[in-house]
Amino acid sequence: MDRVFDVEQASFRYPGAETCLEDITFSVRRGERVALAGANGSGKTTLLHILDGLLFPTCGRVLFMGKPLTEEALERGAFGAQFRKSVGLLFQNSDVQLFCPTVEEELAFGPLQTRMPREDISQRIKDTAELLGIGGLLARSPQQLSTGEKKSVALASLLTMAPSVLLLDEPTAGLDPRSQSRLVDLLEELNAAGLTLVFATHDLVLLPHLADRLIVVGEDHRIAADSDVAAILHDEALLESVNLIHEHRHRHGSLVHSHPHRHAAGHGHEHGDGGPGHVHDH
Amino acid sequence: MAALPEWLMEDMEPTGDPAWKRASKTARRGLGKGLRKSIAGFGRTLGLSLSDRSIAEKRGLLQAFDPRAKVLGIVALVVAVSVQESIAVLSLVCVACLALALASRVPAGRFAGVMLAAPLFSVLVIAPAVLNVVSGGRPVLEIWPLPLDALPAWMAAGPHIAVTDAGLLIASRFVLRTSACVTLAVLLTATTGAPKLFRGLRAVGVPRVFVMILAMMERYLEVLVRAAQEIHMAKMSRSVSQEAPGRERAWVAAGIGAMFRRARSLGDRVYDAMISRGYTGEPHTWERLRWRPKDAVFVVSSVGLAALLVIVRRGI
Repeated sequence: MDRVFDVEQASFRYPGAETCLEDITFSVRRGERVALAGANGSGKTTLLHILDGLLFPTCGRVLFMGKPLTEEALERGAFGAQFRKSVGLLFQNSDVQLFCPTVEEELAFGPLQTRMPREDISQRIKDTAELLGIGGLLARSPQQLSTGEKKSVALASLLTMAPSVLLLDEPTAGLDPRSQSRLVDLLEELNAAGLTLVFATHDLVLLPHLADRLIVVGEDHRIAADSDVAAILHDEALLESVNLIHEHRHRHGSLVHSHPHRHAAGHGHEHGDGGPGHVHDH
Repeated sequence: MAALPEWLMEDMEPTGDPAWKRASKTARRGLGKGLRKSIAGFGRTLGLSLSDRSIAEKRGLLQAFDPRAKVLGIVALVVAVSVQESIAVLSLVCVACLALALASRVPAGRFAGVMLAAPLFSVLVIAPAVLNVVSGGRPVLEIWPLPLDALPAWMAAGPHIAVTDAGLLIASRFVLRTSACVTLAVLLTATTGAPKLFRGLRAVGVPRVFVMILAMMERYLEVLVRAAQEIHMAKMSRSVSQEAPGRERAWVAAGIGAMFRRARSLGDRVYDAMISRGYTGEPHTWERLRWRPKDAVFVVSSVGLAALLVIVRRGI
């Protein structure tokens, strides 16, 4: 089976609320790096929760490895356990995800649910802590960690399950540049090893490093585009229509200058007017 | 982009205007200060009671037993104490709890707090029961009419109210029972880490859903208290002058509502995060639980003692 997820005409609305996702159709292949981008409130997080079997579409359906991902199917022992073991979700707010008294117990939580032998769990904790450089935090309470450390521990808590798919909700949000860079490197390494990655983000700077394919969710909660990252990032009209870039004003000497502003690398532009000629880069 | 409104640009200079200072100072007085102290105190107490695993990690008597044995033994004792009627036996149990606390190296301050708070609250609850109008019995202390020689007529009239021997017995029994039960419960929770305690509760048949709710409450109460502190601080930072007590109370009520919504939302998201990592409601602990002969001895002796207390519940 080459396709990990098939989302077929899925729509979702929270009870008593307006539609959150409308007629969403796409597939994710094994080993792909897919980013879901969209403005705040477009439904990216909800879509990730649907892919993780925490929410279920009100219309349409989602398949995991060709099997319907429904509440009933997840409650059936074998499929549910296999799905939870295979798919990990990194929440945007790490505080939600870290609920054990110590970092070590946090890393052990997932494998313990699968009744894995303790010796194997110990080894996984050791290896994962080493991989993410959190060996010194194992005895500490997750509540006492910095934002970057919490994010690392949350990711480590998923990796100890040895998932084949990682769903990541704004994985770089709130991280300093060095932590962001480390995380991007690690995710690239995991993907090279065969892990399927699905991100939700509106950080266009890191997008080319994080994903090969980009699915844009518009403010109308429908898919506005689904193509490779480079092609979409060059389509300024599309990005502006879905509120991923905006008109930006700033001053160069005495000149107030405006242009479309995207939170992406390489939108440097030259000025020879109104002040000393220089390259302006964000 | 819309232009900045004029009123926003009127007074951009930071000012040390004394009127502003006075207003800020008054805002820190009164209900706001009391509330801030209460929230901070509650946070500290919670931090001590929930996150403090130091007592559970000490090498003491109760810490040496398997949590399942402790839950079984202590629950049996709590049931036996609840039906015990003899004041002498209940007093003995309280003394035994004190000895257990010492042997388990529970800090005196924490233990004294429980030993004082439990009787105090139970006295408040049971106070009406000491009166003849509730419990009957032989009067030992007249309350109304006042036992004075020359009383005005209106004072001599009205119902006869007195503290009775039966009422005192009922109240003493209730206070001693409550104190003993609360002390036993505190000994159990203080000497057992929360995850182990939850496994122990499951082992004695407490339904999964209750244990799960307890576990989430234990994990997130502290986070919520911190959120309450932040909400209060955010309000303080925008308070220019002291508000009328009525408006402050309204704000507190609204804040409680906001916290309730936040707690519900947080609970949902935490539950999602747990489910996402394979949680099915069954608590598993990383620390291995081992059932040893001494645990069997503890259970047998506690259950035996509990049985004895039930048999001699009317006194020796």
